[in-house]
Amino acid sequence: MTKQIEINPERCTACRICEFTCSTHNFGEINPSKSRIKVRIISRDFFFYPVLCQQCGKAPCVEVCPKDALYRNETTGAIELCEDDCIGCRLCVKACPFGAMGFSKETRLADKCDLCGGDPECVKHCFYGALEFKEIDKVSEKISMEYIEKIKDAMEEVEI
Amino acid sequence: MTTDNFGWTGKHIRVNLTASTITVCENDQRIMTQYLGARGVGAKYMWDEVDPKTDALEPNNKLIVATGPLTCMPPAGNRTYFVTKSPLTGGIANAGVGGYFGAELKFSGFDFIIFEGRAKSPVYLWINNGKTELRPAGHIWGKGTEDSEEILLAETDPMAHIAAIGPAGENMVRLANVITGGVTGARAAGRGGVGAVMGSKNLKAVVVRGTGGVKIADLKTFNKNISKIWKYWEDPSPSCAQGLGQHGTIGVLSFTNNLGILPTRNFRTGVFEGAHKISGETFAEKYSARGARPSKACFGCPAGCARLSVVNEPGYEGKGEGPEYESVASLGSVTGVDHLPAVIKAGRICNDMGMDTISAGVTVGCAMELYEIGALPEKDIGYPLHFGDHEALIDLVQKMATRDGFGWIMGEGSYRLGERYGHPELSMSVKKQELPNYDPRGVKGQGLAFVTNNRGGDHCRAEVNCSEIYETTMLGYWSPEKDVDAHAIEGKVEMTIHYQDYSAWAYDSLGFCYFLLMDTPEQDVLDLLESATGLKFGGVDGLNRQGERIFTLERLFNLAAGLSAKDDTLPKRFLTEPMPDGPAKGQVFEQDQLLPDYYRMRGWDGNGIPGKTKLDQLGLS
Repeated sequence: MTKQIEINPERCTACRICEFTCSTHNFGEINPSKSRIKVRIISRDFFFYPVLCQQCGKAPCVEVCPKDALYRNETTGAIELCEDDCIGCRLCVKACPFGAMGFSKETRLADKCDLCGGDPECVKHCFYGALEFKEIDKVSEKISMEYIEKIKDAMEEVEI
Repeated sequence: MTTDNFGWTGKHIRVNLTASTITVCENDQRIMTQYLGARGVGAKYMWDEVDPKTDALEPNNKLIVATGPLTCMPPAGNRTYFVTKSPLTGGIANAGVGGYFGAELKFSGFDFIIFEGRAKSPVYLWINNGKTELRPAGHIWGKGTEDSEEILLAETDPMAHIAAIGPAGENMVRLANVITGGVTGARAAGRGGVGAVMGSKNLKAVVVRGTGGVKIADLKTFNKNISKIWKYWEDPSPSCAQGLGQHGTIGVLSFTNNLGILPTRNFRTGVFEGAHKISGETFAEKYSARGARPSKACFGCPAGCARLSVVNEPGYEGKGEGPEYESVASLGSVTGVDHLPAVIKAGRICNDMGMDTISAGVTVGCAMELYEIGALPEKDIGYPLHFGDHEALIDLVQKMATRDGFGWIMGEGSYRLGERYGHPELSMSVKKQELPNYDPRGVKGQGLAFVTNNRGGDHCRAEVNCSEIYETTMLGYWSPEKDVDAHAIEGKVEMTIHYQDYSAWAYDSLGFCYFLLMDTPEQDVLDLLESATGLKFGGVDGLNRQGERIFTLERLFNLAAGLSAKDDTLPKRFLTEPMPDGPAKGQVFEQDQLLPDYYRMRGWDGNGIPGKTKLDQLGLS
């Protein structure tokens, strides 16, 4: 079972350490604009959300790529980019519904999250668990347990 | 000179507002290594380029907006300093701010900006990576920081970061500050009236967007060093360190009240009977958008100490970042107001108007005492002004910022207000700058820092209370085995000097927030700096000496500006009126015993003037 990065925006403090970690790990410099994860902020609503590739099952970026430069790494589950095949047409940037596909100004090619080869650095330094790396089953298990707790409480109340 | 810049970007901008010219300059590496950045570099340029006798609000004054070599780096490098001559104290001002502005400035490719002169009409500076431009700001002049933020983001770049003044700065209120992030994301470069200097220059805002990178000399070692500091954070001494994440700074209000040092009714006492109504616990329960947990962080910081408040009570409704401890105490206990929604609203008004909450609250407290002793007539204000009147608090804060009626004199600050009504001694200030919220009778080292800090009544430039009350291991004075008696004066001179010199380099000039360094040994900060910049700094002692040089240079600036030993004093209240009740009952501040020792240990003469030997030692002759 492959793991995914689960985003819990209610725990995100917009510290942007993930941006620091991603850009230093992948590019050797502190540069949030190159980071493959970006914390977006709606200041007036106190809403902070780390935007990053969802490694979609039916990925629009993969489907739209005219050169088949994007493919799934079956070991990690990540969608990876073959730089040799990428021509830098940016169709994938437009296709991604989250705005999570990056584009390098230096190589003029697409740039994307590869889950750091299966051990994502950003998750390791997320202090309050806004990012969690876990199997997708665990997510649904947790939600379903929370759901039946609520049902149980409701039923107990009705009985009284 | 582009390949070997680590930590610093290597460049700064000089903006002449009179001539409307912008020049991009290479940094003088000698200045950067000696003065590091932020506060240090600001002090150096002020000393070299500004006549200390210049009127703070005249075009000859300059404003230096500076980051440090570690700004934009975890664990808490996010600070920017606004350094200028203060219209409040007449000495040097350096107001620091966290948030994202400083990091963005570095990503745009610049370490600092020097503003000179005065624009003919309102302008803002737009820095879009390497491109810089002065744009007209007539359409936002008069607007609050929240609206200004929104309009400027719309006409520049939604991802930009902004430092702006509000109406208080435009009206040259001596308590005006600079706000980044508007009201809903507010972080303030709060103290010393730096916003009034921007206003005097017709400079409404600085808007920055940067998509470049900053390089680190030895990334592997740097990451190891960060992890080490993070460990101190995750496993702190029984300090308030993690409490900051859970409750924000407002969480310490109950604590200072329990110690009997929470300034109450213009510092008449240190115990506030209404403390529980304005405490961090009450805030978390009723108004904190995220309850008692880390809410919002500055760039690269795990603490997340900022609070997000939502108030729905009719008449007080609104959203905003904050409130901080200092704001709640100044606008709350100092004015005797225990109605938290009103205190939060007063804080939001201050942020929108661009006015320092500490100075604003303490000035209202001063007015209330003047009224209660009969020195300030009701007809001047328009209504009776008693301690605890929260409607008056909101009214006066608003009028102060807009210089409306009685607000005009209040906008001059508590000292000038007290002077006007014949009681300057009722201004709870040092060097005319209002005191922060630790009654010095109950924390002696912190009190000595208030007396001697170069920017006047201020706690941030020497947080001696980290050893005296907060039980952190900072600088090694407190440990689980060795308590520090906050009421004692023994050892406090040495402690205060150490804190002042350390603060001058480790937080204020590197661009760090001290919250993350409360349990971090000095050596680890040095290691972080050396791995980031690839330079050697002559050990902790060498850096403390650099801190002393920065501190002393500011002292020289103040002396040349006309300040003297007579300005190194707390208000008479703390020296002669024993604390009336609470755990610090009976305490006074023993200034006569502490100050001569302080001068001597600093190598200054009896008049507080640094001697030749000391200046030679520091290379400042």
